[in-house]
Amino acid sequence: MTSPIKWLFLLPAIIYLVALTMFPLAWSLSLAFMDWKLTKASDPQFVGLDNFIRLFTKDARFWSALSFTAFYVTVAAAIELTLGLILAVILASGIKGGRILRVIYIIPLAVPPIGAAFMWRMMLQEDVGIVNAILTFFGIERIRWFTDPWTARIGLIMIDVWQWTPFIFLALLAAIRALPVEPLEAAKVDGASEFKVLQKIIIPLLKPVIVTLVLIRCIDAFKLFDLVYGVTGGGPGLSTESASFYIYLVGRSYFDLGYASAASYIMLIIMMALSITLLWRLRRTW
Amino acid sequence: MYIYWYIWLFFTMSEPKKMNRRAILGTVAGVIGGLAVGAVVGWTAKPAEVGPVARTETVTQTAIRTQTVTAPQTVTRTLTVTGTLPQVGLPDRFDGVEVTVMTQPWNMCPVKHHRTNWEATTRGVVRMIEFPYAELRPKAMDDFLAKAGTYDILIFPGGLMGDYAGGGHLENLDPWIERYGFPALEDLLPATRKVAEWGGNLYAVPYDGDCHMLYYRKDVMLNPEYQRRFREEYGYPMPVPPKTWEEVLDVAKFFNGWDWDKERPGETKYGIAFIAKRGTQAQWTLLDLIAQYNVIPGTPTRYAGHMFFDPVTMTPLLNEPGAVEALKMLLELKNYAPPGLLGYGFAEFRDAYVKGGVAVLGIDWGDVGIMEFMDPASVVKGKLGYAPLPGASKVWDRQRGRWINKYNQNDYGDFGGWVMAISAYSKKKEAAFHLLRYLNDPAQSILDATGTIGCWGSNPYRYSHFDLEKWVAVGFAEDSAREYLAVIQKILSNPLHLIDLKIPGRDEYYDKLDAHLAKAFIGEETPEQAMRAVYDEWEQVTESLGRERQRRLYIESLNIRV
Repeated sequence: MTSPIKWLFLLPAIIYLVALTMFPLAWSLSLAFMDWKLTKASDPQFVGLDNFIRLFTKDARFWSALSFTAFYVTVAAAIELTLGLILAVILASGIKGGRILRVIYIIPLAVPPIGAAFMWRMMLQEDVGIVNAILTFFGIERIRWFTDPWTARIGLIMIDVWQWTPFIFLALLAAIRALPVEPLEAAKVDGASEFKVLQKIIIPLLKPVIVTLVLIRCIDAFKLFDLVYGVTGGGPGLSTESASFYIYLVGRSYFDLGYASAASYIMLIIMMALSITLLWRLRRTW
Repeated sequence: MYIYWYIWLFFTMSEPKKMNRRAILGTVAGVIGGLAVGAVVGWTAKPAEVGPVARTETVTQTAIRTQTVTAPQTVTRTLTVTGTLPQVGLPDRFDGVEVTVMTQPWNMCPVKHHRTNWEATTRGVVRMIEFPYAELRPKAMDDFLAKAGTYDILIFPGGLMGDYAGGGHLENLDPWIERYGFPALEDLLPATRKVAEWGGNLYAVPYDGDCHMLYYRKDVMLNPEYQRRFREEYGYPMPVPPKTWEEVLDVAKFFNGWDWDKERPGETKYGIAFIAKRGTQAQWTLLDLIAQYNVIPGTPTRYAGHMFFDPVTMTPLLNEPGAVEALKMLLELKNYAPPGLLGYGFAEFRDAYVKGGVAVLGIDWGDVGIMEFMDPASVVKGKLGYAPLPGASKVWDRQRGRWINKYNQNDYGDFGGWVMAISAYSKKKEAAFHLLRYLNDPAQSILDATGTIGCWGSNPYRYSHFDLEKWVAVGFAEDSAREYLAVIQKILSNPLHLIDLKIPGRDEYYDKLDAHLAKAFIGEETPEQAMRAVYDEWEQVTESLGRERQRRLYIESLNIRV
C-alpha cells in the first residue's frame, strides 16, 4: 500500500475529519482567547488569557458547578458499577427467567436521555407526582425531590443510575460469559465458595473491562446536561447546576462565546487528564 | 450512544500495547500541537460581520377605514383605523414560494391551522420549523450571524426585541405597512403594540398578548362561613379579590394547610401557588411584586414608570429597598404554598392549580383562564375569579429616598408576550409579509385567542379579541369570560403599563436574577444579599455589553424621557 492511490481513498475521510472535527476544535480554541459576545454586536477581539483568568479568579459559579459534576460522576459511576456487577453475576448464573429479565433491564437504555428526564420530572413532582403518591399510600412521608438541594442531587443520580446501570450490566454480562471456564471449575473443585470465586477469580479477570467501563461512564457522566436541563434546571438554588449546563448558559443564553469556549477547554483538559490516567492504569493491567 | 460501542470496539479489538510515559507525553504534545495549529487557522478566519439593515421603501397614499369593536363590560370602542392604500399592490399569488416560519411547538399551533387557507389562496407554501423554547434564541442568532435567512418569519418573545431588532436583524415593518396596508392597526392593544416596537418603529406585530394576573378560587373565597372566620381572625372582611400583596398574604395564610373545598376527603390544600422553579420563569413572579413596591406609576421618566435601570447612570434598580421588600414578601408567600413549589415551572404550576386545585390563589399568564374551560381535566371550571396584579400598601420613592405609604399598583407585561417578525435576511419578504398580515388579521387571530381552533397559547392582543360572544361560543361561562377579558383588557390597555426588559442581554440579566432568587428560596442568601448580588452581576453584564450603548437602548426601548 505504498501507492499514492491510497491517499485518494483516504481523502474523503481526511476532509471529513478536518472540516467537521479539527476546524471546529481549532476555531473554538481560538475563541477561548477572544472577547466575543453576540449580544454586544461587535467583532471578536483578542484578549489573550483574560477569559481563563476570569474563570480561575472570578467565577465561583463555574467551580461550584464543576464540583457538583465531580460528585455526580463519582457517586453515579460507583453505584452503577456495583449494581451492574451484581446483576451481571446473578444473570450469568443462569437463573430462571434470565432472558426476560435481561430484556427488561436494558429498556431504560433505549430511552433518550431527554425523554427520561421529562418522564422522571413528572414522576418525581412533589405534589402531584406518582412516586410521592405511592409513598403516601404506604404511609411514608413525601420526599422533597427537587426542593431540597441534597435530595435534588440524589434524585438526579438516581435517574442516571436507572438509565445507565443496564449498560454496565450488559457489558459485564458479556464479559463474564467470555471468561475461561477452567479457573472457575478448578476453584469449585477446590471447594471455593461462590463469593470467593467472585472475589478472587471473576472480578480480577474482569478488571480491564471494569476499568474501561468506568472510564466510559465517567467521561459520559462528566458531560451531564440532559438531566439538569430537563429535570431541575440547575435548582433548587444552583445546587444541581453541572459544568456543561453552566457552559451552555454562558454560550447559548448569554452568548458569551469566548468565555464559554475557555470554560469548555478547561473541562476538556480535566477530562483528558482523567482519561489518560485511567487509560494508563488500564494498560498497565493488561 | 454509539460512541460507547466505538470505544468498546476500540478497546476490545486493538492489540494490547504498552503505554509508557514517553508515549503519553508524545500523545499529549501531539494533541496540543494540533490544536495550536488549528487555533491559528481559526484565528485567521474571521466571522461574518453583522451590520444594520438598509431599506429603500417609499410611502404615499393614505386611506381611512373604520371598524367597530365591542369589548366586554362597558367598553365599546369605535376605532378609526388608519391604514394605507398600496402604491404597488402586494401580490396575492406566490406560486411555489416557500415561507419558513420558526417558533416553538406551542406557538406554531395557529400557523398549522391557518396555513391551509393561506396556501390555497396564494399557492405559496408554509414551512414550519419548531424548536424547544430554550433553543429559539440560539437558533435565530445562529441564522442572523450567518445572514442566512433560513427563517422568513420568526415568532418569538417580545423581550428579545433588543437582541433582534436592536441588532438590526429584523425588517422594519413600517414601510411595508405604509405601502401595502395592514389589517386594523388601531385595533392592537397599546401595550402589545409597544412591545412590538423598536425605536418608534414597528419591527414586529403582536402574536400573543401576555400579562400576569391573579387567579382566585371564588367558590371558596365567597363561602360565607370562611368569610366569617377570616373576619374574626384578621379583623377585616375577606378581600375578594385581594388588592394588595399584604392582603394576598393574609388570604394565603388563612387557606393554607387544610381542606377548604372538600372535593376529595383527606386532602391538604394550600394558600397560594406560582412559578418558582429555577430556570423556568420564576423571576417574573418576583418582578410582579417589585413592580408594586419599587415603581411609582407614570410616564417613563428617570424616577417613574419603569423598573430595571436608572436611565441616567444605567445602574440596576433591583437593590433598592422596594425590590428587597418585594423579595421578602415573596419568600413569606412561599411558606403558604404547596411543598413542591420550587419544582413548579409553568407546566407543573398549571397542572397543580387547574387539574389539581391545590391552592386558592395563583399567579400566571392568561393561559390558566383558557385551561380552566378548555382542559378536560380541569377541576376548577367556572370556579376561578380573575384580577389584575395586586398592588402594595407602600412604594419606595428613590428620588427622595423614602417610603410613600399609599396604595400603589402597576400593570406589568411580564415576559412581553409573543411577537411575529420578518427576518432582515429573508429572501421572500413579500410572501412573508403577506402571511404575517394574514395571521395577524382579526378574522384569524380571534380564533387563536379564544382557543376556537384548539390552540391555547395565544392570549388577546387586539380589542376585537374581547368579543364576548365568541368566547361564550367556545364554551366559556359568560360571567367568567366577561371578568377574564375585562382584566386582560384593563392591563393591556393601560397606557402606563410597565414594559418588560427588552434590551440586548435580557436573558443574561434574567438568568442572574433567577439564580439569586433560587438561592433566596432555599435560604442560601438573605433577600438583601440576593438583591445586592443581582445588582453586582447586572453591573458586570452592563459593563461587558457597553454601558453607554445599553443605556441608550434602554431609553429607546421604553421611550423614557430623561
